[in-house]
Order: sequence, then C-alpha cells, then structure tokens
Amino acid sequence: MIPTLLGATLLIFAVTQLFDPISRAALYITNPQQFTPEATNEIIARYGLNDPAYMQFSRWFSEVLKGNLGFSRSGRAPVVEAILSKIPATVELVMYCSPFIVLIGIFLGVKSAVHRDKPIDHITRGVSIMGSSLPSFWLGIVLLSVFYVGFHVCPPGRLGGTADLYVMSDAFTRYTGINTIDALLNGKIWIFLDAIEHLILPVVVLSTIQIAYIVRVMRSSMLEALNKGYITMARAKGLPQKAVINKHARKNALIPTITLSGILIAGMLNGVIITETVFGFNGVGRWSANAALSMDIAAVLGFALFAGIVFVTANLLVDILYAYVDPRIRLA
Amino acid sequence: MLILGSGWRDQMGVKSRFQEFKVGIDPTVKEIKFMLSRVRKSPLSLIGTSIVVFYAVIALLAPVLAPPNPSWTVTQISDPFAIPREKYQSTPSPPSELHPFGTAEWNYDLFYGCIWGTITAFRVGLYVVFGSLAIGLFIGVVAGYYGGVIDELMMRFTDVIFAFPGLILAMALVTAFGRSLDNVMLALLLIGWPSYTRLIRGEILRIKQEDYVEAAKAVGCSDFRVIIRHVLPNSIYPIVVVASLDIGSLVLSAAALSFLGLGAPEYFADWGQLISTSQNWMLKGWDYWYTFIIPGVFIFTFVLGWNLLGDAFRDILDPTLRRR
Amino acid sequence: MKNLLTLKDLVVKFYTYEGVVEAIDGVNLNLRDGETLGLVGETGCGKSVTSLAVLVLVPAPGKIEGGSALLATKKGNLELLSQKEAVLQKIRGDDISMIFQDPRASLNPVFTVAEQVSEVFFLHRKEELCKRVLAGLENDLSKRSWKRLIYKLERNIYKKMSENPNSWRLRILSKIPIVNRYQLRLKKEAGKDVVKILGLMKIPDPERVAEMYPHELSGGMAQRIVIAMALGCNPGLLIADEPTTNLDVTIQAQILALIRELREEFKSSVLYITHDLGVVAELCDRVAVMYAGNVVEIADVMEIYKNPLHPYTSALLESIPRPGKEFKTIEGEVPSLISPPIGCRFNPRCTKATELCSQQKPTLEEVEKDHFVMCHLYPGSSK
Repeated sequence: MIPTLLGATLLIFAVTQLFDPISRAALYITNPQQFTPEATNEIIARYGLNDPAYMQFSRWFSEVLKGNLGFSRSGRAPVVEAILSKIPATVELVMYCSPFIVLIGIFLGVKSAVHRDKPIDHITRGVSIMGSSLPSFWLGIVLLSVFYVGFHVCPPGRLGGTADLYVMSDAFTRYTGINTIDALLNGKIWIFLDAIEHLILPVVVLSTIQIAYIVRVMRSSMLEALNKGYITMARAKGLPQKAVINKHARKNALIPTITLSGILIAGMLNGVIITETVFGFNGVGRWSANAALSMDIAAVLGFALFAGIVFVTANLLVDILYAYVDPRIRLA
Repeated sequence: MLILGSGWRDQMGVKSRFQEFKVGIDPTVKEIKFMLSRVRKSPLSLIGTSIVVFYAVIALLAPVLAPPNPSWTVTQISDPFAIPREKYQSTPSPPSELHPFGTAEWNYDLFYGCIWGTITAFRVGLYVVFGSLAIGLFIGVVAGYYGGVIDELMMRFTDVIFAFPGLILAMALVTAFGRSLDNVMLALLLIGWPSYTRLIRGEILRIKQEDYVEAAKAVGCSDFRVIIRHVLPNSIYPIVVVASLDIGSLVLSAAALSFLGLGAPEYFADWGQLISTSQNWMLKGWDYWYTFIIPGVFIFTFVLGWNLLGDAFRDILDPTLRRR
Repeated sequence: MKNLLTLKDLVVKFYTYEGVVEAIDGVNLNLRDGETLGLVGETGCGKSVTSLAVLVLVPAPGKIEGGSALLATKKGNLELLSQKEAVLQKIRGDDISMIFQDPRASLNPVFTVAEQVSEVFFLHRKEELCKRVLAGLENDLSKRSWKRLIYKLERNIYKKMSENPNSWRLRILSKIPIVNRYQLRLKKEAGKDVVKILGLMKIPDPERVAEMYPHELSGGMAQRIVIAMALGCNPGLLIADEPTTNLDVTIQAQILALIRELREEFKSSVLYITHDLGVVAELCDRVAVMYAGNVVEIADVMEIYKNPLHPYTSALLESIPRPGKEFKTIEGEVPSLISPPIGCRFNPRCTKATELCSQQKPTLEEVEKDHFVMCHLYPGSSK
C-alpha cells in the first residue's frame, strides 16, 4: 500500500509540473492575501518553484505531510479545510446509498441466477443493463424535472430554506455535520424529514448505477458457483434447494463480489461529483467540479490526492474483508 | 491452415489445395455458424446490434441528414461540428418545422447537434478504446512475456493509476491540459490503457504456462512468433468483450465531463454539452423538455446498444456457458 | 435374495444445441440387498447419468423421460421417479447416498470439514441430536448454577425442536444473533458424531481434521471425508461414482480397503461405478457392463471373467493389456448418442453382428442362471 501511495503522490506532482510557476504557487499559499503578484513572486522564490523538479518534489511533499495542500481560489479557504468542511454532506449521501446498493444488488443478483432464463431473470438483466447505460446526470435531471418541477417535491440542495436558516443559527448545535443525524440529536424531527426529502433523489440516482453493476457481477458469480461439484454433493445429501442456494452457493458467490466492491467505491467517488452537481448538494464532489471549472489547480489536485488516499485505504479494507470471507486466502 | 504430416490428406480424401483449405477451415466455420445462431436466438443481442448499426448509419449519413451551414455558426469556418444558429435568442424554442428537435439555449439547432453528436460519440468511443487497446496491449505483452524488472515496473505504474477513481483523475488532467474535447479524449486514454495492460498481462501469464507454448518454443518458434500466433489469438475473446463494454462507459464518462463543462465548448455538437446548457432551463418547467430529453435519449440508447453488444459477445464467447 | 434397487427401462435424454442426446435408452438393472454391484463401461456410456437418475439429480438440460426406479423400503417398493421433492430430500443422504469422482470438488471451500459433515446429521438425525442435548440439559439443570434460567429456556427450545423441527418460531429464533447461541449445543453434539465417523474412516487425529478447510486436505483425506458424509446416516445404498479415479494408485488401494471394511460394518449395498476392471474384480460381487446407454450384461464377477457372453464384454476383457500378449483394441468408435445406430448400439463394431442386429434392439434377458445378456446371439433376447 505504501509504495502505491507514494507513487500516487508522484503522479499528482507530475501533473502539477504541467502548470506554470505562477499557477503552482497556489499550492503553497495559506491565506488569500497572498494572491497579489508580489506575494506570488515571493512564494516562487521561497519555494524555489523554478528549481529542478526533484527539489520541488521534496519541498511539496513535506508540505503535504504537514497537511498543507495549498489554497483554493474557488473555495476561498485552504484546500484541506474546504475538503473537511464539505465531507459530511458527501458522507451523508454515501451512507444512505450503501445499504441499498449492497442489499438490493445481492438479492437481485441471486434471484436472477437461481431463476435463470425465467421472466424474473430477463427483467432483472434488462433493468440492470439499462441502469448501466444511463448517464447519471441525465437521470438526475429527468427525475428532478419530474418530481421537483412537476410535483413540487424533493427539491435540490441539502435543506429547504427555513430548515437551512435554522441549522445555521445558534439554536441548532452541529455535532457531525450530517444533517439527518444532527437533526435527530437536536430533537428536531421536521429538519430530519426535510433532509430526508432532499436526500431521496440523489440517493436514487447514485445507487441506480451501482446496483446495476453489482447485480451483473453477483449474477455471473452465482451462476458459476451453482455449477460447482459441491452443489450436487449438497443436494445428494438431501439438502433442500433453498438451503443449497442460500448456504452453499451464496457464500462462494460473494467472494468475487466483495473484491469488486473496491471498484464500486471508485464508482461512488466518481458518481458523487456528478450527483452533487446536478442536485446542488453542497458536498465535496460539487466543490471539486466547480474548482475544475474555474481552473483552481490546488483544489482539483488536492482533491485528487485525497480521493486517491481514500480509495487505496478502502481497497485495503476490502482485501482484509476478502481474507475474512475466503478461508483459502486467510491461511496462506 | 498448416497441418503437419502428409498422411492426413489421403485419409480425408483431399484432392486439391482448395479442398485442403476447406477442410482446414471447417471447424472455424462451424464455430462462427454456432456463434451467429446464438446471436440470432438471443433477442437482446439482436437489439444491441441493430442499435449500433442504426447509429453507424446516422453517423455516415450526417452530412446528408443535417447539412452544415458555415454562415450561421459561431466559428464562421467550415467546422461541421459547430452547430448552426440563425439568431441570438437565448431561450430555447420547441420542435418545429425548421428545427425538428427544437433549439437549445442561444438557438443552437438540436437536430443538428444530435446528428453530428453521433459522429462525436463514435469518435470518442473508438479513438479512446483503440488507443488504450494499442498502448495497453503493447505494454501488457512486453511486461507479461518478458517478466522480471520490466514487469514489476509496469505493474507498479498501473497500480498508481488505479489508485485514483477514473473520473477524478480525468478531471485533474483536463484541468491541466485545458478544456477541450480532444483533451478529454487524451485524458480518458491515459486513464484507460492500464485496464487493458492488466487484462492482457493476466492472459499472457496464464497462457505462458500452457503446454502448447512450450511445444512451440521447443520446435524453434521465435518469441515474436509465439506471441502473435499462439498467445494473442487465445486471449482475444475477453479483450473483445471488455472493449465493447468500454466504448459505452467511455462515452458516458466523456458526456459527464462535457456536462460538467470540462469538455466540448458551447457550440460544439456533443450530447453531453447539449445537456449541460439545458440545466438552466430544466428548472423553469416542462416547456423545455426537448432540451434535455432528446440528447439524453441519444446517449442512453447509444450506450445501451454497445452494452447489449458487449454482453452478447460475453455470452457467446464464454466457453463454459455455451452448448446449453 | 431381495432386490434393493430395481431399474426398469430407464430413459434419460439431454436436450442440447446440437440435438437430443439419448444418454440412457432403456437401462435395466437390479441391485440385491447387501451386495456390491459394479457398473463398468467406457467414458460416456451413461454410468454417471444412471446413478444421478436414481437420486433424481440429473442436471438440466437432461430430463428423465421414462422407466422406473424402485427402492425397496420397509413399507414396500417406492417409485423414486415419481416422488415429490420433499420425500426425495429425506431419502437422499439417509437411505441412498452418493459420492463423486473429484473429492475436492465435492467439498465447499468456505466451510470447515465439521460444518459440512455435520450437515447430514442436522438433516436426518435431528431428533436424536435433540434427545441427547436434552439429556445433557437435564444433567446441567441438576447442578446448582446461575445459568439455570438459560438452561430452562434452552430446554423449552429443544423440546419444541424434537417435536417440530421446522416450526416458524424456531426459524425466527435461529436468525436472531445472540439468541441463536442455543444452537451451539446442537453443534457440539453433532461435532461428537463427526469426530466419531471420521475416526471410523481411519482418519488420524479426527478432532484436528474436523476444524480444517478443504483446501488443506490431501486427495485421499478429502475422499475419506466425502465417504464419511455419505455413510454418516448409515444409508442402505451407497452409490460410488468413480471415487478413486482421481487419486494416486497407492491412495486408491487404501480407499478400496476402506470401502471393503466399511460395507462390512455398515452393512450397506454398494453400486460401484468405474471403468477399471481390476477394481471390479477386487471389490464387487456382481458386475453390470454398460455400452452407449444400455446395460448389455449382468453377471457374477467370476462368471463374467470366465464366461463373457456379450461380444462387447469379451472384447473388453481381451483388450486388457497382458505381458506377452499382443495388444488388442476394439475396432471402431463409440457411437454418437445424438444419432445412435438403429437396433443394437454395438452392432457397427461387433464381429458377430447379424442382419437382425442392425434392425431390432435386443432386450436384457436371463440367458443362463443369474447371467443376464442383451444380445440377439442368445435365444430369449430377441422377442
């Protein structure tokens, strides 16, 4: 894992070298006053931004290790601070998506494989293929126009007007930054319901694409498991078909699915950018999309580095989970 | 088809070179016939194939269906991808005789945009996939076959690229390179080749151990010959499946980047870009449905066609699922 | 001697892309109580399909199209092919057991040996296990301890289980995380049975082996465990589908010796499927020879070696390589079962074939005492 992370930082650094020194200065700035030409020149001099690449890398890397990813022009805050302030919104979104994706995806995948070539299989496969052909931003726009413009429910954003004001006032204490949890902790059910209403459509959009993917993977690994010899052996022992599927086949079919949840996490990180932009959800994804639009390199690259670290860590956890489920890996 | 030994000719009653060719080709012909019958039997693969063919026809007939009109375009030069507009009207107008699909913001003709957008979609999909394939295959073959330090280095490098979720890295690259559709394609290519490298390397490692490769080397085949004649043909199938599924997902990623504003400029005929401008009008009510529904349907069906095709390939070419 | 299993005119067809494969076309077989019947034949002649048909486990696209399979039970003859799935599940593993060719493939890699072997006990011996658990509970209740309350609850649960193992209340209880610890007692009792039967299989250190995973086992060990699973509930009939084909010769000898010992101890009848005539000579009382989906000869083992009546059997015996003898093969190839030859399926390769052989199919008849043949050469076979 460590070499990969090092390599990842190297890659990001290589991308920074594509910019001119003036833009690169943004990576070292700590407060907005320093955007003036004199200050920028001073930074270029101080950090030796015209020096050879390897010297710059060590300086930049030490800054990164100190937690300084530069200053974001679009976010008007240091990059790290901007990310941390917007993370809770994204976490809230991902939090509500994950159980749906996992449960529905696995359930449908198993059903589809067990009843192969029957109507339920064809319907599930059809829906899952359509789900993975949908552009997520288009799905979001269509749903918004149907529900929000058409029926006046599920508006974009995280909270409605009054709830938003209330949350920002002193009467409301922020514990986690996750609206639904905070609302419950503050005892304000109406804010909770308001947050849920704003969450429905983004969750649907973000989950649909991932569910489509998991269903396909689960189906094919289940089909493979059902062909194995131990299934016939289990039936020859007198095990009822349902138990054969649920006990023997499913556990084996989960193994490749777990390894692919790593890719799923990537899909979430990607999908969050689009979904938050479409729904005006004030999370880390939307911020990074805006940053890219306004050529705010410190923000974009800082976010990329952050996403990379998250992804690599998540993959490590997936590997550990994989070893837990598959005894062949465990004892090796 | 070279078959060693001459006794088989007499045994099979082969009298001429032509007959020899036919006999040699016979198993391949049987396989192809079987595959085609599987395609025919499965309605989904038929739908997929017809969708892709339909869009290919549209792409080829674009100059006829939607003739370019340089005097009306933003760039005022003959760039067929620049969508023409007659006037400077900011609000979109609904479908009418002059504009079959209506117009987008700033009066860009949606019909023109969607038709020429088909060519853009094919361009993006095919260039990036073939580019990634070429680079990926080359690096993968070198790494897999020669192993050792080269292999390690290449794998570390692909690991690093895999450490980032695709779209995010693409975003970063496009921010660095500058905002244009070509840069989007370049960014997607740089992110796309590692998957093919991994794929072909895995296949090569698997096939390297097979006995027939040892046999070929024992007979004196050079490394190059072994790769071309033995390794590649056997690893082609999974690559075909992945590539056709990839085209669909690449078009989606490119559309997403264009939608975010990082891809094609405003006047360019690109489906994602067309939906991007429709965002302002979507919230104003259902009157402007055509601005986002129509280009979206194009993207959806295009990607659907390729996905169905890729799935069909996978079902047909998977040896364990055949013969049922 | 009574017949334990009688197969009459069994027909199994596979509906594939290339056509309908007539895998089994009228198989007649009878297995007597207490005997070991060997079923020999080349690869592809339908031996495995026959055994799967007995348990009604023929995989799709195969279909059992006709015939009957009678199992002799205490209540008379049971027609296996027309039973409901629930009845068949009770029979499988309990009255008829099956072991397969590849022991590693028969074991699920994610479960321990104990979990898989105890499965048979949970399926078929639940009441017995419950009674033993209850006895243990009574013992625990007689001691003074603060856990008495838990024991009383467990006693209620197990009483319920011994009466009605499938009640919905029990099913819900078994899904709740901490409450379902009551199942630990059952698992412990089953564990004792597992260790006992592993010991009977001559597996050294059975407690340790019980906790291992299949990938840690050698081929011979794995096959012993599969046999343990099959014999766990003392079935009347054991079907062994080429159990030693994938093993080394030395391990093969061990497994064969084991099977010989076990059939004495468990008093079960064995249907032993193989293509190895040497194993047949060692292990079996009677032999049935199969060719291209038909049983062509059934006789006593000694009789068949001394006096093979069917041309295929004699050709088979002649083709066994012997030092000093010229190597003989059977001319021709095994026919395609999609378009099998009309009449007797062996007739294209038979040296003694007549006109009748390619027109009409013979039937399996008792031509000599206890010696059945399906061939036109013998009167009685052509009807």
